Amino acid sequence: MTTSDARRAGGLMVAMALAFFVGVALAAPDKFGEDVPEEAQRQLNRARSLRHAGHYDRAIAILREILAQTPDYYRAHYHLGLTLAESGKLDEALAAFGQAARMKDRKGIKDATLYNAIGWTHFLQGDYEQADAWLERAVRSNEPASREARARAFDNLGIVAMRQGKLSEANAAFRQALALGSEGARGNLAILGKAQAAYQSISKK
Amino acid sequence: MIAQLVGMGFHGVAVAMVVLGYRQLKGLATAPLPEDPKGAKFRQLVGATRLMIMASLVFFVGGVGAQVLSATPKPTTVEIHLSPALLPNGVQPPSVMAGTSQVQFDANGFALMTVRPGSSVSVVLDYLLKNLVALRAEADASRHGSQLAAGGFDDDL
Repeated sequence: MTTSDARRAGGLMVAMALAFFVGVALAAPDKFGEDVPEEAQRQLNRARSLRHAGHYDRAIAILREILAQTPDYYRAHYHLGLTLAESGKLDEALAAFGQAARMKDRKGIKDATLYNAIGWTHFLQGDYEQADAWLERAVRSNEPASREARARAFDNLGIVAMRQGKLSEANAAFRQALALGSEGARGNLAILGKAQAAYQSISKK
Repeated sequence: MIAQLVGMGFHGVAVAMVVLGYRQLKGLATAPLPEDPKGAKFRQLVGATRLMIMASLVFFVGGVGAQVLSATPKPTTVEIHLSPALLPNGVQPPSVMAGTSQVQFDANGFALMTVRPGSSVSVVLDYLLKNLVALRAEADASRHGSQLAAGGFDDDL
């Protein structure tokens, strides 16, 4: 983080703290029905835009400030985990996702996408067993998730299965992703098909 | 001495019979001639000696037979152990085949394998083979400008 970034983040924290106390009265239900100050929701969207632009440190600073004011905010924990993971801080990301999971359980929030995030972070860490377990949970969960989110989890599950040498399981996962409209699943199946053909040809010898 | 010979098994019993037969013959040769005009006692002793010799033959044949049977190869037990803890995370241990049966490992990676002479032990690295062909397919695709499309994270939460 540069000096100007730090200064900007410091100013932002002060502004947010002020806005928070003003905005408490303006609390509105968030996506999962959480009663969260509107300012916190605005700042979360801002952090998200900063993450998209690759300004991870600034996004993380904003999200941490949001959580300092509203520690129970599920989506803020989730987006903090996401930003930390994308910036390569995978251990911290898992800690943030863990916090999100606690909030989720405490508030009874129904959302399967968190499992995919935890599973994919484990995959990025190279922990395929944990990744497999969490992604299985993501695709088997009865909790709501968008069609795209389910397709994404199946694609991820297929890749984890491929890395584990489970070609049949990978095939099944990619097919599920394709059925749910995944754009990448067809290409994944083509690559997997070549692996399966190579395996068949070797094992026949 | 006889008791010790019998304790040695079939061969011992056969030798014991021969020893007893010898003693009986010796007794017969050294004994004063019986006043037995019909020779009944003499025939009885000769008959008993003949039985001894036949019995020793039977036991000798039995001993040889037992030796042949005991020389038949017995299964050789080999204790092996494999430690899953040494394998990298997520890597499955290879499956080990003793002949046509798969060796079952316990949770600690230990297994007892019985291998008969002439049968083979094979280590099946099916998982590794699948893993390699998958990595190769990925590498080939990458050379042709395509790659696996990961779903990654959900951003629209």
